[in-house]
Amino acid sequence: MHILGEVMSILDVSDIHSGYGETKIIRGVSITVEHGETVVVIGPNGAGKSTLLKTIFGLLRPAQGTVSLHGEDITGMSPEKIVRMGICYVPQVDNVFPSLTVLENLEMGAFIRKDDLGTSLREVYKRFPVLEDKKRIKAGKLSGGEQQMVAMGRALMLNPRVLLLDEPTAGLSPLLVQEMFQKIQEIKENGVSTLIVEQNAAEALKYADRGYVLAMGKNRYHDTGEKLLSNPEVGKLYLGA
Amino acid sequence: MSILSEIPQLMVYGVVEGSIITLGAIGLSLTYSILKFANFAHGDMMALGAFFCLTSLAVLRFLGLEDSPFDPLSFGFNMVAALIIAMALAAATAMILDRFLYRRFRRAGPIILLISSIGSAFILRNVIQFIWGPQPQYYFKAIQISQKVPGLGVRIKPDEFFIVGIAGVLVIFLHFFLTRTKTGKAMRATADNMDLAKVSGIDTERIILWTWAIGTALAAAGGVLAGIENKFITPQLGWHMLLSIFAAVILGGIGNPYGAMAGGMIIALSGEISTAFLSTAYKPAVAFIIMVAVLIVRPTGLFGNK
Repeated sequence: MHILGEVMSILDVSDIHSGYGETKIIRGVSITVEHGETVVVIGPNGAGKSTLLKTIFGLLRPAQGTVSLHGEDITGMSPEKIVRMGICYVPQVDNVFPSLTVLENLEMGAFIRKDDLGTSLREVYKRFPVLEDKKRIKAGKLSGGEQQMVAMGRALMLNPRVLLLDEPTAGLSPLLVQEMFQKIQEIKENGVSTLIVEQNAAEALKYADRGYVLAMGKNRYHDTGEKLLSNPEVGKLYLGA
Repeated sequence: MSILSEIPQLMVYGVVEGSIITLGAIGLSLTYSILKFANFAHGDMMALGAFFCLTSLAVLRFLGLEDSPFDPLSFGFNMVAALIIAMALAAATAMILDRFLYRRFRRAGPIILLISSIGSAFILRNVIQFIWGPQPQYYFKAIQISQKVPGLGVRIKPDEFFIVGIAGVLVIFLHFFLTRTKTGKAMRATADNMDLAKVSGIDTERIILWTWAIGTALAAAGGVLAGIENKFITPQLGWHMLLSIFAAVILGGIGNPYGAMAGGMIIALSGEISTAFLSTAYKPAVAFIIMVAVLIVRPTGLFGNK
Protein backbone atom coordinates (compact mmCIF):
# COMPACT_ATOMS: atom_id res chain seq x y z
CA MET A 1 0.00 0.00 0.00
CA HIS A 2 1.24 3.44 -0.82
CA ILE A 3 0.46 6.47 1.18
CA LEU A 4 0.05 9.55 -0.99
CA GLY A 5 3.37 11.30 -1.44
CA GLU A 6 5.44 8.29 -0.59
CA VAL A 7 7.87 7.20 -3.31
CA MET A 8 6.49 4.23 -5.18
CA SER A 9 8.42 0.99 -5.09
CA ILE A 10 9.81 -0.04 -8.44
CA LEU A 11 8.45 -3.53 -7.84
CA ASP A 12 5.60 -4.28 -5.50
CA VAL A 13 4.42 -7.85 -5.00
CA SER A 14 1.37 -8.00 -2.79
CA ASP A 15 -0.16 -11.10 -1.21
CA ILE A 16 0.63 -13.46 -4.11
CA HIS A 17 -0.80 -16.97 -4.16
CA SER A 18 0.63 -18.99 -7.00
CA GLY A 19 1.85 -22.39 -8.15
CA TYR A 20 1.33 -25.09 -10.74
CA GLY A 21 -2.28 -26.06 -11.36
CA GLU A 22 -4.15 -26.68 -8.16
CA THR A 23 -1.01 -26.87 -6.04
CA LYS A 24 -0.32 -23.44 -4.65
CA ILE A 25 3.35 -23.34 -3.76
CA ILE A 26 3.25 -19.79 -2.48
CA ARG A 27 0.34 -18.67 -0.36
CA GLY A 28 0.47 -15.03 0.47
CA VAL A 29 3.94 -13.63 -0.26
CA SER A 30 4.51 -9.88 -0.31
CA ILE A 31 7.78 -8.19 -1.16
CA THR A 32 8.90 -4.83 -2.47
CA VAL A 33 12.00 -3.67 -4.29
CA GLU A 34 12.90 0.00 -4.15
CA HIS A 35 14.84 1.94 -6.79
CA GLY A 36 18.43 0.76 -7.09
CA GLU A 37 18.06 -1.85 -4.39
CA THR A 38 19.38 -5.38 -4.30
CA VAL A 39 16.84 -7.60 -2.58
CA VAL A 40 17.56 -11.24 -1.83
CA VAL A 41 14.96 -13.91 -1.20
CA ILE A 42 16.22 -16.96 0.67
CA GLY A 43 14.56 -20.02 2.07
CA PRO A 44 14.74 -23.79 2.00
CA ASN A 45 14.02 -25.88 -1.08
CA GLY A 46 10.34 -25.85 -1.89
CA ALA A 47 9.73 -22.57 -0.09
CA GLY A 48 8.49 -21.09 -3.36
CA LYS A 49 11.41 -18.86 -4.32
CA SER A 50 11.49 -19.76 -8.01
CA THR A 51 7.70 -19.78 -8.14
CA LEU A 52 7.75 -16.21 -6.87
CA LEU A 53 10.06 -15.04 -9.67
CA LYS A 54 8.11 -16.92 -12.33
CA THR A 55 4.90 -15.35 -11.11
CA ILE A 56 6.38 -11.85 -11.15
CA PHE A 57 7.58 -12.43 -14.71
CA GLY A 58 4.24 -13.74 -15.96
CA LEU A 59 5.35 -17.32 -16.50
CA LEU A 60 2.82 -18.36 -13.87
CA ARG A 61 -0.49 -16.68 -13.31
CA PRO A 62 -1.26 -15.99 -9.67
CA ALA A 63 -4.54 -17.20 -8.21
CA GLN A 64 -4.59 -14.17 -5.97
CA GLY A 65 -2.57 -11.03 -5.35
CA THR A 66 -1.02 -8.34 -7.52
CA VAL A 67 2.33 -7.47 -9.04
CA SER A 68 3.02 -3.88 -9.95
CA LEU A 69 5.93 -2.24 -11.66
CA HIS A 70 6.33 1.35 -10.56
CA GLY A 71 2.67 1.55 -9.66
CA GLU A 72 1.42 -0.06 -12.88
CA ASP A 73 -0.41 -3.36 -12.46
CA ILE A 74 1.35 -6.08 -14.46
CA THR A 75 -0.33 -9.09 -12.84
CA GLY A 76 -0.90 -11.88 -15.33
CA MET A 77 0.74 -10.11 -18.28
CA SER A 78 2.68 -12.32 -20.71
CA PRO A 79 6.49 -12.47 -20.38
CA GLU A 80 6.82 -10.90 -23.84
CA LYS A 81 4.94 -7.85 -22.58
CA ILE A 82 6.71 -7.71 -19.23
CA VAL A 83 10.10 -7.68 -20.97
CA ARG A 84 8.98 -4.65 -22.91
CA MET A 85 8.11 -2.91 -19.64
CA GLY A 86 11.67 -3.21 -18.39
CA ILE A 87 11.90 -6.38 -16.35
CA CYS A 88 14.44 -9.01 -17.35
CA TYR A 89 14.55 -12.51 -15.98
CA VAL A 90 17.45 -14.96 -15.83
CA PRO A 91 16.18 -18.51 -15.21
CA GLN A 92 18.18 -20.85 -13.01
CA VAL A 93 18.73 -23.55 -15.64
CA ASP A 94 18.66 -23.60 -19.44
CA ASN A 95 19.34 -19.89 -19.46
CA VAL A 96 21.40 -19.68 -22.65
CA PHE A 97 20.73 -20.71 -26.26
CA PRO A 98 23.35 -23.47 -26.54
CA SER A 99 23.64 -23.64 -30.33
CA LEU A 100 23.90 -19.87 -30.72
CA THR A 101 27.19 -18.06 -30.33
CA VAL A 102 27.79 -15.83 -27.32
CA LEU A 103 27.25 -12.76 -29.49
CA GLU A 104 24.01 -14.18 -30.90
CA ASN A 105 22.80 -14.92 -27.38
CA LEU A 106 23.38 -11.29 -26.45
CA GLU A 107 21.62 -10.14 -29.62
CA MET A 108 18.63 -12.29 -28.71
CA GLY A 109 18.54 -10.61 -25.31
CA ALA A 110 18.02 -7.35 -27.18
CA PHE A 111 15.50 -8.87 -29.61
CA ILE A 112 12.83 -6.26 -28.92
CA ARG A 113 15.24 -3.38 -29.56
CA LYS A 114 15.36 -1.87 -33.02
CA ASP A 115 18.30 0.51 -32.45
CA ASP A 116 22.03 -0.10 -32.63
CA LEU A 117 23.31 -2.54 -30.03
CA GLY A 118 26.92 -1.36 -30.06
CA THR A 119 26.87 0.57 -26.78
CA SER A 120 25.08 -2.15 -24.85
CA LEU A 121 27.40 -4.81 -26.24
CA ARG A 122 30.45 -2.80 -25.19
CA GLU A 123 29.00 -2.40 -21.70
CA VAL A 124 28.32 -6.12 -21.34
CA TYR A 125 31.82 -6.95 -22.64
CA LYS A 126 33.31 -4.46 -20.20
CA ARG A 127 31.48 -6.15 -17.35
CA PHE A 128 32.24 -9.70 -18.57
CA PRO A 129 35.46 -9.48 -20.62
CA VAL A 130 35.53 -13.25 -21.18
CA LEU A 131 32.37 -12.93 -23.28
CA GLU A 132 34.14 -10.69 -25.79
CA ASP A 133 36.97 -13.19 -26.15
CA LYS A 134 34.49 -15.97 -26.77
CA LYS A 135 31.83 -14.09 -28.70
CA ARG A 136 32.07 -16.41 -31.72
CA ILE A 137 31.89 -19.59 -29.63
CA LYS A 138 28.64 -21.47 -29.15
CA ALA A 139 27.26 -20.82 -25.68
CA GLY A 140 26.69 -24.54 -25.14
CA LYS A 141 30.44 -25.11 -25.27
CA LEU A 142 31.21 -22.71 -22.41
CA SER A 143 31.76 -23.61 -18.75
CA GLY A 144 28.94 -23.25 -16.25
CA GLY A 145 30.29 -19.96 -14.92
CA GLU A 146 30.71 -18.53 -18.39
CA GLN A 147 27.20 -19.61 -19.33
CA GLN A 148 25.90 -17.80 -16.27
CA MET A 149 27.69 -14.66 -17.49
CA VAL A 150 26.11 -15.08 -20.94
CA ALA A 151 22.73 -15.38 -19.24
CA MET A 152 23.29 -12.22 -17.21
CA GLY A 153 24.69 -10.41 -20.22
CA ARG A 154 21.65 -11.42 -22.26
CA ALA A 155 19.36 -9.87 -19.66
CA LEU A 156 21.46 -6.69 -19.38
CA MET A 157 21.22 -6.03 -23.12
CA LEU A 158 17.87 -4.35 -22.52
CA ASN A 159 19.14 -2.06 -19.75
CA PRO A 160 16.32 -3.33 -17.56
CA ARG A 161 14.80 -1.37 -14.70
CA VAL A 162 14.43 -4.59 -12.71
CA LEU A 163 16.56 -7.69 -13.00
CA LEU A 164 15.19 -10.99 -11.67
CA LEU A 165 17.91 -13.58 -11.00
CA ASP A 166 17.02 -17.16 -10.13
CA GLU A 167 19.96 -18.67 -8.24
CA PRO A 168 22.70 -16.98 -10.25
CA THR A 169 25.44 -18.82 -8.35
CA ALA A 170 23.99 -22.34 -8.37
CA GLY A 171 26.66 -24.86 -9.26
CA LEU A 172 29.51 -22.34 -9.35
CA SER A 173 32.83 -22.75 -7.52
CA PRO A 174 33.24 -20.61 -4.36
CA LEU A 175 35.62 -18.31 -6.21
CA LEU A 176 33.11 -17.76 -9.00
CA VAL A 177 30.32 -17.22 -6.48
CA GLN A 178 32.29 -14.25 -5.09
CA GLU A 179 32.91 -12.91 -8.58
CA MET A 180 29.26 -13.26 -9.56
CA PHE A 181 28.11 -11.31 -6.51
CA GLN A 182 30.64 -8.59 -7.26
CA LYS A 183 29.19 -8.34 -10.77
CA ILE A 184 25.70 -8.10 -9.30
CA GLN A 185 26.98 -5.32 -7.02
CA GLU A 186 28.38 -3.44 -10.03
CA ILE A 187 25.11 -3.83 -11.89
CA LYS A 188 23.27 -2.41 -8.91
CA GLU A 189 25.65 0.56 -8.84
CA ASN A 190 24.51 1.26 -12.40
CA GLY A 191 21.04 1.84 -11.02
CA VAL A 192 19.43 -1.51 -11.83
CA SER A 193 17.10 -2.82 -9.15
CA THR A 194 17.74 -6.50 -8.59
CA LEU A 195 15.67 -9.25 -7.04
CA ILE A 196 17.70 -12.39 -6.39
CA VAL A 197 16.57 -15.80 -5.25
CA GLU A 198 19.48 -17.63 -3.68
CA GLN A 199 20.70 -20.88 -2.15
CA ASN A 200 24.06 -19.37 -1.20
CA ALA A 201 22.12 -17.43 1.41
CA ALA A 202 24.93 -16.21 3.66
CA GLU A 203 26.97 -14.93 0.75
CA ALA A 204 23.99 -13.31 -0.95
CA LEU A 205 22.86 -11.44 2.17
CA LYS A 206 26.27 -9.74 2.43
CA TYR A 207 25.54 -8.00 -0.85
CA ALA A 208 21.86 -7.40 -0.23
CA ASP A 209 20.23 -4.19 0.91
CA ARG A 210 17.32 -6.17 2.21
CA GLY A 211 16.40 -9.80 2.46
CA TYR A 212 13.27 -11.88 2.77
CA VAL A 213 13.11 -15.36 4.20
CA LEU A 214 10.37 -17.53 2.74
CA ALA A 215 9.21 -20.72 4.37
CA MET A 216 6.29 -22.96 3.45
CA GLY A 217 5.18 -20.54 0.78
CA LYS A 218 4.86 -17.57 3.13
CA ASN A 219 6.93 -14.59 4.29
CA ARG A 220 8.88 -15.59 7.40
CA TYR A 221 11.41 -12.86 8.10
CA HIS A 222 12.13 -9.55 6.47
CA ASP A 223 15.01 -7.25 7.36
CA THR A 224 18.15 -5.63 6.05
CA GLY A 225 20.75 -8.08 4.75
CA GLU A 226 23.04 -7.32 7.66
CA LYS A 227 20.40 -7.85 10.33
CA LEU A 228 19.23 -11.11 8.80
CA LEU A 229 22.81 -12.32 8.82
CA SER A 230 23.15 -11.57 12.51
CA ASN A 231 19.72 -12.93 13.42
CA PRO A 232 20.54 -16.14 15.33
CA GLU A 233 17.29 -17.85 14.40
CA VAL A 234 17.74 -17.16 10.69
CA GLY A 235 21.33 -18.25 11.02
CA LYS A 236 20.45 -21.54 12.61
CA LEU A 237 17.55 -22.42 10.35
CA TYR A 238 18.53 -21.05 6.96
CA LEU A 239 22.19 -20.19 6.83
CA GLY A 240 23.57 -23.40 8.22
CA ALA A 241 25.52 -21.40 10.82
CA MET B 1 32.05 -52.34 -68.15
CA SER B 2 33.16 -53.04 -64.62
CA ILE B 3 30.97 -52.26 -61.67
CA LEU B 4 33.25 -49.52 -60.38
CA SER B 5 33.17 -47.59 -63.62
CA GLU B 6 29.44 -47.08 -63.16
CA ILE B 7 29.90 -45.33 -59.86
CA PRO B 8 30.63 -41.79 -61.14
CA GLN B 9 27.40 -41.86 -63.17
CA LEU B 10 25.45 -43.17 -60.18
CA MET B 11 26.89 -40.38 -58.06
CA VAL B 12 25.49 -37.87 -60.53
CA TYR B 13 22.04 -39.41 -60.08
CA GLY B 14 22.62 -39.40 -56.33
CA VAL B 15 23.49 -35.72 -56.18
CA VAL B 16 20.42 -34.80 -58.24
CA GLU B 17 18.12 -36.89 -56.09
CA GLY B 18 19.93 -35.74 -52.96
CA SER B 19 19.25 -32.10 -53.88
CA ILE B 20 15.54 -32.82 -54.03
CA ILE B 21 15.46 -34.86 -50.82
CA THR B 22 17.53 -32.20 -49.04
CA LEU B 23 15.00 -29.48 -49.84
CA GLY B 24 12.26 -31.65 -48.37
CA ALA B 25 14.35 -32.67 -45.38
CA ILE B 26 15.28 -29.11 -44.36
CA GLY B 27 11.66 -28.09 -43.95
CA LEU B 28 10.78 -31.22 -42.02
CA SER B 29 13.75 -30.65 -39.74
CA LEU B 30 12.92 -26.97 -39.20
CA THR B 31 9.33 -27.63 -38.17
CA TYR B 32 10.49 -30.44 -35.92
CA SER B 33 13.10 -28.24 -34.28
CA ILE B 34 10.57 -25.55 -33.36
CA LEU B 35 7.34 -27.46 -32.85
CA LYS B 36 8.79 -30.83 -31.77
CA PHE B 37 6.59 -32.96 -33.96
CA ALA B 38 7.12 -34.99 -37.11
CA ASN B 39 5.01 -33.42 -39.82
CA PHE B 40 3.62 -36.21 -41.99
CA ALA B 41 1.94 -33.70 -44.30
CA HIS B 42 5.33 -32.38 -45.42
CA GLY B 43 5.55 -34.70 -48.44
CA ASP B 44 2.12 -33.65 -49.62
CA MET B 45 3.18 -30.02 -49.33
CA MET B 46 5.91 -30.92 -51.85
CA ALA B 47 3.23 -32.31 -54.17
CA LEU B 48 1.07 -29.25 -53.60
CA GLY B 49 4.02 -27.05 -54.55
CA ALA B 50 4.55 -29.08 -57.71
CA PHE B 51 0.89 -28.60 -58.72
CA PHE B 52 0.89 -24.91 -57.82
CA CYS B 53 3.81 -24.63 -60.22
CA LEU B 54 1.84 -26.44 -62.94
CA THR B 55 -1.07 -24.03 -62.57
CA SER B 56 1.23 -21.01 -62.40
CA LEU B 57 2.79 -22.10 -65.70
CA ALA B 58 -0.67 -22.37 -67.25
CA VAL B 59 -1.66 -18.95 -65.92
CA LEU B 60 1.54 -17.35 -67.21
CA ARG B 61 0.87 -18.89 -70.63
CA PHE B 62 -2.74 -17.72 -70.49
CA LEU B 63 -1.55 -14.19 -69.73
CA GLY B 64 0.31 -14.41 -73.00
CA LEU B 65 3.79 -14.44 -71.51
CA GLU B 66 5.68 -16.19 -74.27
CA ASP B 67 8.22 -18.64 -73.06
CA SER B 68 11.22 -19.69 -75.07
CA PRO B 69 13.39 -22.25 -73.29
CA PHE B 70 16.78 -21.21 -72.00
CA ASP B 71 19.16 -23.14 -74.21
CA PRO B 72 20.01 -25.94 -73.34
CA LEU B 73 17.31 -26.29 -70.67
CA SER B 74 13.87 -27.63 -71.55
CA PHE B 75 12.13 -24.62 -70.03
CA GLY B 76 12.51 -20.89 -69.78
CA PHE B 77 11.83 -17.93 -67.57
CA ASN B 78 8.22 -18.91 -66.93
CA MET B 79 9.39 -22.02 -65.09
CA VAL B 80 11.54 -19.93 -62.73
CA ALA B 81 8.67 -17.51 -62.15
CA ALA B 82 6.23 -20.39 -61.59
CA LEU B 83 8.65 -21.99 -59.14
CA ILE B 84 8.78 -18.81 -57.07
CA ILE B 85 4.99 -18.39 -57.19
CA ALA B 86 4.53 -22.04 -56.16
CA MET B 87 6.89 -21.59 -53.20
CA ALA B 88 4.96 -18.52 -52.06
CA LEU B 89 1.56 -20.20 -52.43
CA ALA B 90 2.69 -23.32 -50.58
CA ALA B 91 4.15 -21.17 -47.80
CA ALA B 92 0.85 -19.33 -47.50
CA THR B 93 -1.05 -22.64 -47.36
CA ALA B 94 1.17 -23.86 -44.54
CA MET B 95 0.65 -20.65 -42.57
CA ILE B 96 -3.11 -20.93 -43.02
CA LEU B 97 -3.02 -24.58 -41.91
CA ASP B 98 -1.07 -23.54 -38.84
CA ARG B 99 -3.54 -20.81 -37.90
CA PHE B 100 -6.62 -22.98 -38.37
CA LEU B 101 -5.33 -26.39 -37.37
CA TYR B 102 -1.95 -26.84 -35.72
CA ARG B 103 -2.08 -23.78 -33.48
CA ARG B 104 -5.17 -25.12 -31.75
CA PHE B 105 -3.45 -28.42 -31.00
CA ARG B 106 -0.11 -27.00 -29.93
CA ARG B 107 -0.91 -27.09 -26.24
CA ALA B 108 -2.20 -30.66 -26.57
CA GLY B 109 1.30 -31.95 -27.25
CA PRO B 110 3.39 -33.48 -30.05
CA ILE B 111 1.40 -36.72 -30.50
CA ILE B 112 -1.81 -34.85 -31.24
CA LEU B 113 0.08 -32.62 -33.68
CA LEU B 114 1.61 -35.66 -35.36
CA ILE B 115 -1.76 -37.32 -35.80
CA SER B 116 -3.37 -34.14 -37.08
CA SER B 117 -0.53 -33.85 -39.60
CA ILE B 118 -1.32 -37.37 -40.86
CA GLY B 119 -4.90 -36.18 -41.23
CA SER B 120 -3.88 -33.09 -43.16
CA ALA B 121 -1.60 -35.25 -45.32
CA PHE B 122 -4.63 -37.24 -46.49
CA ILE B 123 -6.72 -34.13 -46.92
CA LEU B 124 -4.04 -32.35 -48.95
CA ARG B 125 -3.45 -35.35 -51.21
CA ASN B 126 -7.14 -35.77 -51.87
CA VAL B 127 -7.67 -32.09 -52.47
CA ILE B 128 -4.80 -32.16 -54.98
CA GLN B 129 -6.35 -35.18 -56.68
CA PHE B 130 -9.76 -33.52 -56.71
CA ILE B 131 -8.47 -30.31 -58.26
CA TRP B 132 -5.82 -31.59 -60.65
CA GLY B 133 -6.89 -35.22 -61.18
CA PRO B 134 -5.02 -38.46 -60.49
CA GLN B 135 -3.28 -38.84 -63.86
CA PRO B 136 0.34 -37.76 -64.34
CA GLN B 137 0.82 -34.23 -65.61
CA TYR B 138 3.75 -32.57 -67.35
CA TYR B 139 5.48 -29.21 -67.02
CA PHE B 140 6.80 -29.51 -70.57
CA LYS B 141 6.67 -32.10 -73.31
CA ALA B 142 10.23 -31.95 -74.59
CA ILE B 143 12.39 -34.92 -73.74
CA GLN B 144 15.95 -34.12 -72.92
CA ILE B 145 18.91 -36.27 -73.88
CA SER B 146 21.73 -36.50 -71.37
CA GLN B 147 24.98 -35.05 -72.59
CA LYS B 148 28.45 -36.34 -72.03
CA VAL B 149 30.56 -34.26 -69.66
CA PRO B 150 34.03 -34.19 -71.20
CA GLY B 151 36.74 -35.74 -69.05
CA LEU B 152 34.46 -37.10 -66.31
CA GLY B 153 32.91 -39.98 -68.17
CA VAL B 154 29.43 -39.16 -66.97
CA ARG B 155 26.27 -38.07 -68.72
CA ILE B 156 24.16 -35.27 -67.32
CA LYS B 157 20.97 -33.64 -68.52
CA PRO B 158 21.23 -29.84 -68.59
CA ASP B 159 18.03 -29.67 -66.51
CA GLU B 160 19.85 -31.53 -63.77
CA PHE B 161 22.36 -28.70 -63.48
CA PHE B 162 19.39 -26.44 -62.91
CA ILE B 163 18.00 -28.77 -60.21
CA VAL B 164 21.27 -28.96 -58.30
CA GLY B 165 21.90 -25.24 -58.85
CA ILE B 166 18.50 -24.14 -57.53
CA ALA B 167 18.84 -26.44 -54.52
CA GLY B 168 22.31 -25.00 -53.85
CA VAL B 169 21.10 -21.41 -54.10
CA LEU B 170 18.18 -22.09 -51.75
CA VAL B 171 20.43 -23.79 -49.21
CA ILE B 172 22.83 -20.84 -49.29
CA PHE B 173 19.93 -18.41 -48.89
CA LEU B 174 18.69 -20.42 -45.92
CA HIS B 175 22.13 -20.43 -44.35
CA PHE B 176 22.39 -16.65 -44.62
CA PHE B 177 18.87 -16.26 -43.33
CA LEU B 178 19.55 -18.42 -40.27
CA THR B 179 22.93 -16.91 -39.42
CA ARG B 180 22.70 -13.28 -40.56
CA THR B 181 19.15 -12.07 -40.05
CA LYS B 182 17.48 -11.27 -36.76
CA THR B 183 14.46 -13.45 -37.58
CA GLY B 184 16.73 -16.34 -38.58
CA LYS B 185 18.69 -16.12 -35.36
CA ALA B 186 15.48 -15.91 -33.38
CA MET B 187 14.30 -19.03 -35.19
CA ARG B 188 17.42 -20.91 -34.06
CA ALA B 189 16.99 -19.48 -30.56
CA THR B 190 13.37 -20.66 -30.45
CA ALA B 191 14.46 -24.12 -31.62
CA ASP B 192 17.08 -24.20 -28.86
CA ASN B 193 14.79 -23.16 -26.03
CA MET B 194 11.32 -21.82 -26.64
CA ASP B 195 10.78 -20.73 -23.03
CA LEU B 196 13.96 -18.70 -22.96
CA ALA B 197 13.01 -17.20 -26.33
CA LYS B 198 9.72 -16.01 -24.83
CA VAL B 199 11.53 -14.68 -21.78
CA SER B 200 13.79 -12.70 -24.12
CA GLY B 201 10.76 -11.06 -25.70
CA ILE B 202 10.86 -13.05 -28.94
CA ASP B 203 7.38 -13.34 -30.45
CA THR B 204 7.48 -17.11 -30.80
CA GLU B 205 4.13 -17.30 -32.61
CA ARG B 206 5.56 -15.14 -35.38
CA ILE B 207 8.68 -17.31 -35.47
CA ILE B 208 6.50 -20.42 -35.83
CA LEU B 209 4.76 -18.85 -38.86
CA TRP B 210 8.14 -18.03 -40.39
CA THR B 211 9.24 -21.62 -39.82
CA TRP B 212 6.20 -23.00 -41.61
CA ALA B 213 6.62 -20.54 -44.45
CA ILE B 214 10.30 -21.24 -45.05
CA GLY B 215 10.14 -25.00 -44.51
CA THR B 216 7.18 -25.35 -46.83
CA ALA B 217 8.58 -23.03 -49.48
CA LEU B 218 11.68 -25.24 -49.62
CA ALA B 219 9.49 -28.36 -49.76
CA ALA B 220 7.52 -26.86 -52.64
CA ALA B 221 10.76 -26.16 -54.49
CA GLY B 222 11.75 -29.79 -53.90
CA GLY B 223 8.42 -30.92 -55.34
CA VAL B 224 8.85 -28.76 -58.45
CA LEU B 225 12.41 -29.99 -58.98
CA ALA B 226 11.23 -33.58 -58.57
CA GLY B 227 8.66 -32.85 -61.27
CA ILE B 228 11.40 -31.54 -63.57
CA GLU B 229 13.60 -34.56 -62.91
CA ASN B 230 10.86 -37.19 -63.21
CA LYS B 231 9.20 -35.41 -66.15
CA PHE B 232 5.77 -35.79 -64.56
CA ILE B 233 3.93 -35.02 -61.35
CA THR B 234 1.21 -36.97 -59.55
CA PRO B 235 -0.63 -36.30 -56.28
CA GLN B 236 1.48 -39.08 -54.71
CA LEU B 237 4.80 -37.39 -55.58
CA GLY B 238 5.60 -36.21 -52.07
CA TRP B 239 4.15 -39.11 -50.16
CA HIS B 240 6.50 -41.46 -52.00
CA MET B 241 9.50 -39.37 -51.06
CA LEU B 242 8.52 -38.90 -47.43
CA LEU B 243 10.25 -42.05 -46.19
CA SER B 244 13.59 -41.03 -47.71
CA ILE B 245 13.11 -37.55 -46.32
CA PHE B 246 12.48 -38.86 -42.82
CA ALA B 247 15.55 -41.07 -43.14
CA ALA B 248 17.61 -38.04 -44.19
CA VAL B 249 16.36 -35.95 -41.27
CA ILE B 250 17.00 -38.67 -38.70
CA LEU B 251 20.40 -39.53 -40.16
CA GLY B 252 21.51 -35.92 -40.08
CA GLY B 253 20.30 -35.33 -36.53
CA ILE B 254 16.68 -34.40 -36.17
CA GLY B 255 16.09 -30.68 -35.81
CA ASN B 256 19.33 -29.61 -37.44
CA PRO B 257 18.86 -28.17 -40.96
CA TYR B 258 22.53 -28.69 -41.82
CA GLY B 259 22.22 -32.31 -40.75
CA ALA B 260 19.19 -32.60 -43.03
CA MET B 261 21.32 -31.45 -45.97
CA ALA B 262 24.05 -33.98 -45.23
CA GLY B 263 21.47 -36.69 -44.53
CA GLY B 264 19.68 -36.04 -47.82
CA MET B 265 22.88 -36.38 -49.81
CA ILE B 266 24.03 -39.51 -47.98
CA ILE B 267 20.65 -41.26 -48.33
CA ALA B 268 20.41 -40.47 -52.04
CA LEU B 269 24.04 -41.25 -52.87
CA SER B 270 24.14 -44.53 -50.95
CA GLY B 271 20.86 -45.64 -52.54
CA GLU B 272 22.09 -44.87 -56.06
CA ILE B 273 25.57 -46.31 -55.64
CA SER B 274 24.13 -49.53 -54.24
CA THR B 275 22.46 -50.18 -57.60
CA ALA B 276 25.90 -50.96 -58.99
CA PHE B 277 25.97 -54.05 -56.77
CA LEU B 278 22.34 -54.82 -55.99
CA SER B 279 19.00 -54.79 -57.71
CA THR B 280 17.35 -51.34 -57.81
CA ALA B 281 14.58 -52.79 -55.68
CA TYR B 282 16.93 -52.67 -52.68
CA LYS B 283 17.64 -48.95 -53.05
CA PRO B 284 15.42 -47.82 -50.15
CA ALA B 285 16.62 -50.72 -47.99
CA VAL B 286 20.26 -49.71 -48.46
CA ALA B 287 19.45 -46.14 -47.50
CA PHE B 288 17.78 -47.34 -44.33
CA ILE B 289 20.60 -49.75 -43.46
CA ILE B 290 23.02 -46.82 -43.70
CA MET B 291 20.72 -44.79 -41.48
CA VAL B 292 20.49 -47.53 -38.87
CA ALA B 293 24.24 -48.10 -38.96
CA VAL B 294 24.94 -44.42 -38.36
CA LEU B 295 22.41 -44.28 -35.54
CA ILE B 296 24.04 -47.25 -33.81
CA VAL B 297 27.33 -45.34 -33.73
CA ARG B 298 25.78 -41.92 -33.16
CA PRO B 299 22.28 -42.24 -31.73
CA THR B 300 21.61 -38.52 -32.14
CA GLY B 301 22.45 -38.53 -35.84
CA LEU B 302 25.43 -36.94 -37.57
CA PHE B 303 24.81 -33.38 -36.43
CA GLY B 304 22.56 -33.91 -33.45
CA ASN B 305 23.94 -32.82 -30.12
CA LYS B 306 21.18 -33.46 -27.64
